[in-house]
Amino acid sequence: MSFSPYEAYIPRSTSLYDGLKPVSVGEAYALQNNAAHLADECGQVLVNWEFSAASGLYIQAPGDTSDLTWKRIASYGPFPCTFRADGAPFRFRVRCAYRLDSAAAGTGYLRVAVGPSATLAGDARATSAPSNVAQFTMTTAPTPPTQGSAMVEIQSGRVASMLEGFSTFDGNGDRTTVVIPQVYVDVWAISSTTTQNNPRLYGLNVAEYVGL
Amino acid sequence: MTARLDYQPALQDLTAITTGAPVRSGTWQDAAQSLNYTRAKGGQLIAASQMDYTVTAGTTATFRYRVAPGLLSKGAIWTIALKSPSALGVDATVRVPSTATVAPPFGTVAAHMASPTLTYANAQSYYDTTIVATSYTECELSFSVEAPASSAVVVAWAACVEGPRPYIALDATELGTDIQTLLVGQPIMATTAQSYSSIASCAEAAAVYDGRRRSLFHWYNPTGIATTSTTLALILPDIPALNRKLFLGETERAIRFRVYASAVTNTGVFRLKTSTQTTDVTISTGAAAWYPSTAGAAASLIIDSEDLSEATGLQGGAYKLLTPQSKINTAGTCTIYGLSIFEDPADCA
Repeated sequence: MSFSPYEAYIPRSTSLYDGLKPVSVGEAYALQNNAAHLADECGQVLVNWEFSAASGLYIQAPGDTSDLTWKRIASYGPFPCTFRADGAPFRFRVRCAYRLDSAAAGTGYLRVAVGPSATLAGDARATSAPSNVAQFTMTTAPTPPTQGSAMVEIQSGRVASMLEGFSTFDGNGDRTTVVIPQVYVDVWAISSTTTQNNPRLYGLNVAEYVGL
Repeated sequence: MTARLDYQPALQDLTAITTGAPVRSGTWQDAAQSLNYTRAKGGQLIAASQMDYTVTAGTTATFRYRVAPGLLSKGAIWTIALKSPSALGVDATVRVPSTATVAPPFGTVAAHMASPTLTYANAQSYYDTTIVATSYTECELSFSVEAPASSAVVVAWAACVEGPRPYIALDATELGTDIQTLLVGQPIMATTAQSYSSIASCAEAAAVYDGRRRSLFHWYNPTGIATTSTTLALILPDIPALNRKLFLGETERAIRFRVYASAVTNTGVFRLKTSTQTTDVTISTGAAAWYPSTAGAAASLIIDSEDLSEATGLQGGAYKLLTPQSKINTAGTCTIYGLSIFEDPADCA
C-alpha cells in the first residue's frame, strides 16, 4: 500500500521553511506526504535480462529432467531489500519469458522464488507454491517465447531470517558492515514427463514495488 | 554528529496533521527518519544481467556500464557469477574496475569456480570498489575477466549495488537531518541539518538524487551484435521497464540511455522505442564508444511511470515494453556492445 496521501511528490521551495516563518497545516502535510512518498517509490530493479537475438541466450536445466525433480537453473543475489513503513518487505513484480525446448508432449513448470537464502530452496519446491514463489506453466515451444508476470510477497515471518551483514563503506569511504535485510532470487524448473521437454528461461525481470 | 540509518522508513501518522492542532514532535521526527532512510539506503546500480559470455583461454573480456549513482554513494559492490567448463574449476582473474591495478580486495582477485555440471551458478564472488565521492554524476562502471591460458571461463551474470550508508553527515553536502533537533521544546531554526528546513532540503535531495531507480536495464556483450542495413531487433522479447512515479498526475516520464557501439564504412543507427515513443541515436564510424557521446547528455525516452492504484503498479495493468533495434546506413556493419538504461536526476527536478 502507498503510505502517502497524494501518492506523489509535491515540489516545495525550501525557503518556505526558513526560520521565523510560520508553517501552515497544508505545508506541513505536503512535507510529510513527500517523505512518505519518496520512501514508497525507492524500490529498485533487482534482475532484468532478456534473450539476446544474436547470442540465443537461454537457461535450462543441465541434462534432461527425467527424474522429475525440481532443479535450480538460476540464482541471483544477494540484493539489499527495500522495506515499507509498516515493517513488511516491498512486493516483487516478476516477469519472465519461457517456453519448452521442443514441442514434444508434456508440461513444463518454472518457479521464480524471492526470499531469504535459508528458506528459498524449500519454498521453491513446495507442493503448493507459497506467496513468495511465482509459477509459470508451459506446454508448447513458441517463437518468440511466452511472457508471463506475477506478484510475489515474502511472508512477514521470514523477515528476521533476511537480516544479514553487508560489507559497505561509511561516509569517509572506509569499509564497514551494516546489518540489513537481503533477498535472493532463484529459478527452478521441472517437467511432467521423462521426454526431452525441458522448460527454458529466456528472460527475467524482478522489481520491487510497495504494492497496494 | 551524524544521522543513523535504519533499515526501514518510519510509519508516519499523517492523520495527526489537522487544522487547529499543532504538528507533534513525533510526526516531524518520523518524516526526518524516513528521509534519512531513503537517502542513505543506496540503490541497485546494475540490475542482475544474465550473459553466459565465454571468455576464451588466455584472453580478457571487459564489461562496461553507464550509471548515475545516488548523491551519497561511496562504494559499488559487484556480484559476479562465473562458471567453469571443467568439473575441476578454474582460476580466473577479475578486475574491478576493468583497469584496476591495485591489490585485493579492490583490484585483481583470483576466483575459484564450481562446475556447471553440478549445479548452476554457485561460483559468485563479491568485489567492492570506491566510486565517485558524493556525486550523482553519470559515470562508467566496468569489470574485466581474464581467463587463464589453460581454460576458458564463462561469465554467467553480474550485478552491482550501491553500498548502503550506515550514517549520513549533518552538513550542507549530505543533508542528514538531526532528529534530536525535532524533539519537544527545541527551537524552530533554519540551520543546516536542523528543524523543518532540513526536512525540506532532505526531501528535495531525495526526490532528485537518492530515491531514483538507478538501473532499469543494463546489458553488455564484449563480442557485440553486428547489424547490417536490415533493422535488427537486438533483444527479444522486448524489455520490461517502469519508471518510479514522482509527480502528481504523472503517468509517464523520461529515462536516459547510452549505447556502446561502433560503425564501419557508414554511420549506424541505434533505436530505442516503445509503442508510442521513438528515440534514434547515430553511431559514428570509428572505434567503439558510448553514444551519445559522454561529453553531452544521454539520450532520453519517455516510458510509463508506476501507477500506485494498481496491484501490479503497471499503467492499465500492462507493461509498455522497450524495443532496442539497430542497423547500418546503406552498407557496412554497426555493432552494438552494450545498452545502459537508467533514471537520471535531470528528469526528476
